[in-house]
Amino acid sequence: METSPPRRKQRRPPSDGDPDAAAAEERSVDCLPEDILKNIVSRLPISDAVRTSMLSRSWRRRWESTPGLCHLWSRGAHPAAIGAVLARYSCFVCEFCSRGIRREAFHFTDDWICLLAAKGVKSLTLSFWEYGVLNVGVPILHPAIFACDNGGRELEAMIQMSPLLESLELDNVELLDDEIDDWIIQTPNLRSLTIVSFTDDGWQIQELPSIQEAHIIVEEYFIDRDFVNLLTCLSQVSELELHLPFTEDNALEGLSCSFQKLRSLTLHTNFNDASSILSTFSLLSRAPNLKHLEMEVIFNDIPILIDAVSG
Amino acid sequence: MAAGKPVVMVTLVSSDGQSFQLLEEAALLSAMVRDTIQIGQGRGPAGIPIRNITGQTLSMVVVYCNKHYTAAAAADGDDAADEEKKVANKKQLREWDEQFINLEQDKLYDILVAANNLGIDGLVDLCCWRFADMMKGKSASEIRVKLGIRDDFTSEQRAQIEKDSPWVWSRTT
Repeated sequence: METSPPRRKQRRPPSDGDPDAAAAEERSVDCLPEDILKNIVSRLPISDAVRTSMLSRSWRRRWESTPGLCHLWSRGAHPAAIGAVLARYSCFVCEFCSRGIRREAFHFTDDWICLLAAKGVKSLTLSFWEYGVLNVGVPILHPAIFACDNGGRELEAMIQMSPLLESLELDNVELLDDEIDDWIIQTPNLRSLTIVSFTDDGWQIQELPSIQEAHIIVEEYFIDRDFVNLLTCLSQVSELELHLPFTEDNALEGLSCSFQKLRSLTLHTNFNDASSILSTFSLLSRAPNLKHLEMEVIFNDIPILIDAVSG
Repeated sequence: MAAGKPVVMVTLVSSDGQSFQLLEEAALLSAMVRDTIQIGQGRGPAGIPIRNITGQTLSMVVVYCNKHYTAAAAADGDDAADEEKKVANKKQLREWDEQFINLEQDKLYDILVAANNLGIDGLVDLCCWRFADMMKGKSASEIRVKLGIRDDFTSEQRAQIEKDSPWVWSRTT
């Protein structure tokens, strides 16, 4: 057993007489100590937690000071309400997730991001959708464009100013600013990084001392991207998923670091040419503790799945 | 239980005089019992008096402590590397917990108060989880009735709340 928990507030003893009858009179949740009531509220979905403010005067502002609320919003949530809830919530935000953000709601996210940065958000998921212009009247949605006003610089600054950020997922994020060549992803507590996109948006990774898990799936990398440097920055990961580049030469030529902690590796590669085979082996030969290997061979646009488990 | 360890029992005595004997290690899940034993009391034949908790409630608490002590002891004996088994055991215990706490509200309330006074964190969390589960998706008036909360807003306050926070009562889907 660890050290004893802090002393609890004792409930007032029931009045004399039959304890059962006394207890029955007092069985309102309002007789429970404040830390218990907050414990209950912290387990509610965010919209239910906010709605407790309608219960009574003592419940009016309880959710605002309840630590640990998960800000996971369903698709139907009104974007103005999300912002208002964030503004009123006075604790740190561990997890924020809003999916299916429509085009007309894009501008709300600027406010959310400022509020979340101030509240030390640890996990932030924003997924954007827009209606396909060619499918007017047909509710077909496709991944939309996360258009930060100032492109990568703003995103870069946001990431750098979030020292508690542990997990970053950029799913089909496209930066519209042509001026941006290199912008840097650098934050001390990042454990998990996911980048999924079709084109290369010029991100660079630097100093991620806590990184444990990385998924880098970019279909078309910049021709001059330095993969040796990229993988050297990720040498501490235990789980790696990588879309290997299709280059003329072995993109991992000269890789000198060793992936001692790497347990699970998923590669998307093209065994068409010698360079991709060489890249694959450059990586595998430097991962002595690999337990699980999965490869997707992209071959004439038809993926063939190969599963392999090595001891 | 590891062989050779002496079996120490403690007795908990409810407010209505019922005695419950259990392994001291199981009773140590309670911070209150831990504190009592640390200052050298409670091991005698008179046991530890538990004020304000009736036998009916205390019997449930004892069942919880026994189950969780047994599960923890079994997990200690397991091969530490067998992740799958650990996960399966954890899931099993969680299922047992959910079954155990699936109680009518008055009993749940009494157990929560008892767990809080006895300082059994796991049981407090489980009761809070169950209360939250009962509140999910319910309207304010449904929750008020269920949990015995008195609506003490004045009509002016109510109007103000509705004006300030239109998202509060409109159900998000």
